[in-house]
Amino acid sequence: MAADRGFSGKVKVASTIVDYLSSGLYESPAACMKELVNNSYDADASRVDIHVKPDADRIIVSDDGTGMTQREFQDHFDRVSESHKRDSGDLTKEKKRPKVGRIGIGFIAANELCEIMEIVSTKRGSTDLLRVVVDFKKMRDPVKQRRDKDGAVTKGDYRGTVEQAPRNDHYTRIYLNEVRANVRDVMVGADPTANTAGGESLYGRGPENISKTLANSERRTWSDLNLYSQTMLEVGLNVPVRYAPDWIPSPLRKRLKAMEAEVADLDFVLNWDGTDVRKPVVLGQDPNKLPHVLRCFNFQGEHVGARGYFFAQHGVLLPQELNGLLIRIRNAAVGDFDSSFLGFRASEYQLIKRWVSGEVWASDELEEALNIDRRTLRTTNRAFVEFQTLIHEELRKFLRDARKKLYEETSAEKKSVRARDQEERMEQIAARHRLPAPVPRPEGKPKQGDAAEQKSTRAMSRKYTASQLYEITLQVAEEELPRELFRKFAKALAKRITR
Amino acid sequence: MSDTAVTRAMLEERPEKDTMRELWASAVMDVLEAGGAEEGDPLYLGLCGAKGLDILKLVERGIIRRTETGAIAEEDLGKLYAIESDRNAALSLQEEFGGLEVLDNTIENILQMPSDLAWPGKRLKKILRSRVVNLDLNACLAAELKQQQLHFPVVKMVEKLSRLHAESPHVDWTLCLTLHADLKFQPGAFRRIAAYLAENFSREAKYAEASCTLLGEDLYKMLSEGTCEDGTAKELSPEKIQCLMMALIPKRIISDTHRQGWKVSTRRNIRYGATADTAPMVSWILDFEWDTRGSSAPDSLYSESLKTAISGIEEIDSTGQLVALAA
Repeated sequence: MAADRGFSGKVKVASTIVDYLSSGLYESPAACMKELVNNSYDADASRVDIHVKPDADRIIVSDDGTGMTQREFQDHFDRVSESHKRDSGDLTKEKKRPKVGRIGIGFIAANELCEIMEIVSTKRGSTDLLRVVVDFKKMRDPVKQRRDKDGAVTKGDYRGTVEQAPRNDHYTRIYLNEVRANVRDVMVGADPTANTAGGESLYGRGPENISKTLANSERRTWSDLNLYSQTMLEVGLNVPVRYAPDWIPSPLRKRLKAMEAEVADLDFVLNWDGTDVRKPVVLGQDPNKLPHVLRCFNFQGEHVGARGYFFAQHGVLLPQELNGLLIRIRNAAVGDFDSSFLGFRASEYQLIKRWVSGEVWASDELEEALNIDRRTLRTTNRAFVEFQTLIHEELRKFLRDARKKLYEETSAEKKSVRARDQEERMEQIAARHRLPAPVPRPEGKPKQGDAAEQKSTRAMSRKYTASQLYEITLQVAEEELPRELFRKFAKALAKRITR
Repeated sequence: MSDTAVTRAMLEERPEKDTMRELWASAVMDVLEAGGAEEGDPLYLGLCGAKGLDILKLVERGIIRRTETGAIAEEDLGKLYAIESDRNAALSLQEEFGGLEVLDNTIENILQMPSDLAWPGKRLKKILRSRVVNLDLNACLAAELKQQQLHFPVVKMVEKLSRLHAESPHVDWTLCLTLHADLKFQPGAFRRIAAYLAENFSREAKYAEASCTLLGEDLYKMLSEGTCEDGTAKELSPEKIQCLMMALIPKRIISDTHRQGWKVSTRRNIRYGATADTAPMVSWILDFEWDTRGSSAPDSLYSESLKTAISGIEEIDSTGQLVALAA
């Protein structure tokens, strides 16, 4: 066995700007975690295991990707902002996946999570086992103290060794040690000793169970879950994992089969403390919110193309995190569902917009508009402008269709049901009085009459149903009229209602 | 997986080992039946190996619950800890039992052995004070001479663990200890082992009697008469080494821990293996019960503990059957 070869060096970034950016770029631990998971995806991993529990004192991200060599590590870390991630092409080497990462600051996301990062990696075909410890503590020092004579800013020291590994092994394991206290609280669900504190936990549940939990009609928001679970869902939403079983009712699912298969073909599994994490998109499971409308779209503009779907149900879409549009570029999401639908302002659709969820896979051109945080898009970018316009066109068409199907047709159906109900009740009332049942005039256009009469009728209709009015009338008549006269009156009333 | 891990995995598949795992699970069960661990305190700490077969036994007995994904149930997360220094094995273990905390270091490093002054931090200390500590060591019995004093690193480790458990508030605990029946000693150390045993035979008649039955008259005589040299150890059969360790280890542990306040009861003193294709092993299950005589009447505490040292000795045959040995 060859002797271990030691090496050491400085991790640097090209400028203070990049240092600042990468130090406060991510809004939550989930945002950092998704960077690490996407790194594994870009390394052609089929499976990533994340170990957080029991107390997130140390977090492990372990993948079966291609791994990296000492040279690759040093190329990457010696000048983080000058990433060579796409030098070797836009697609990954083995699985030909479009690479998600662009400027290579994904690893640096770890500095927001922990003080010490240990990377253990080996590449297939190589007997080198790379072991590097990156110390981020230094970056907490003032920038002045960290700037070297060339103006570059030291982000953290690293120490590495190259040991021996079996030739066929290939993996990268990232040990996030000394996890920062605030991160630990979030990652573990706020209170490690009180297991249910901070909301329901999805820990230890399988995909079917999680789908059921998310589909619970009483779940208004993911915030009902603890932070551990929310973090897991947020990462699952962003990274290229498969859809959950029965994520959408099967008649609709058939229409999305190709899209779903394409995602599954990416062959990427995220395992979070033993849970097979799927996209937490669960739609149309509430039987009280029928019917559903689905529209698949596909457009190609001058600067950008996209395909995706819009889904709508009858009623506000819950959990509210799924209301809006989720944009995916290269299979990774851009932020969360955008409930403004890229600033869609058509006033006539403001209400129904809340009933809609959609996902769109944009072509690579939209990546030009992607900000460094991977959460927002530059609104002045020409690809974005076109994308926004085309999405709004699709959305308008969809909403018009959805409103007709969900609101107008449902409304007509409801009226018809109500009329049938009234008819039945009148029959019951008539039967009680041993009278022939009146046949109510179908609801629709009002009978002609003067305006005051119509107004009064409408006011009364709002207060009483037709059957109630019929019953009241008969009761009063029975009380006030002799029996024979009452029978005549009732007969005339039934005839009138029938007419 | 490293060579060590492979060897260990092979050992783990043996029927004898399965019987041992049953006994360990029973020991945990007994602790639970006696009141278990305090809320939030760890119940079991083990050197579990890549497959975590001892954990599976705890699951089978319903001591540890798993979720539908196989992860440790949230309610049981703080009860169970594993030590596995092979990082590949540690990750396998975590993949098998989601949520399980695996300390990927050696028990020696975690305990900061051999230092008497350095101690693990608060968090690790809490884990090390588990109600049941299972040191299924893939190691033989090492004996050293430090400044001419006989020294057993494994006993020193147990002594350090018992000191941790003795910290206020003390925690009664059970030690499961397994060693290869093989001796690794510095020159002169075996002669000192023999002398140590000889002195104790002369002082403790009952211990001597039980040891004689266990060791056989020839070996007992050699030890008692002080005719053993380092070379003698090399001539001992694996069975004799097993018996020697069965007599020596509980005695030494009792001797080194009773003054801390521990009454040590040897619940199991078992040998197995030593056939053509299986390595000879020795396992002990020792209960440490807090006893205030540690400071006021340590000798009576010691004598009481010693009475159990070679009682109930057993053998596990190649089919996994537990057979009582006369002692």
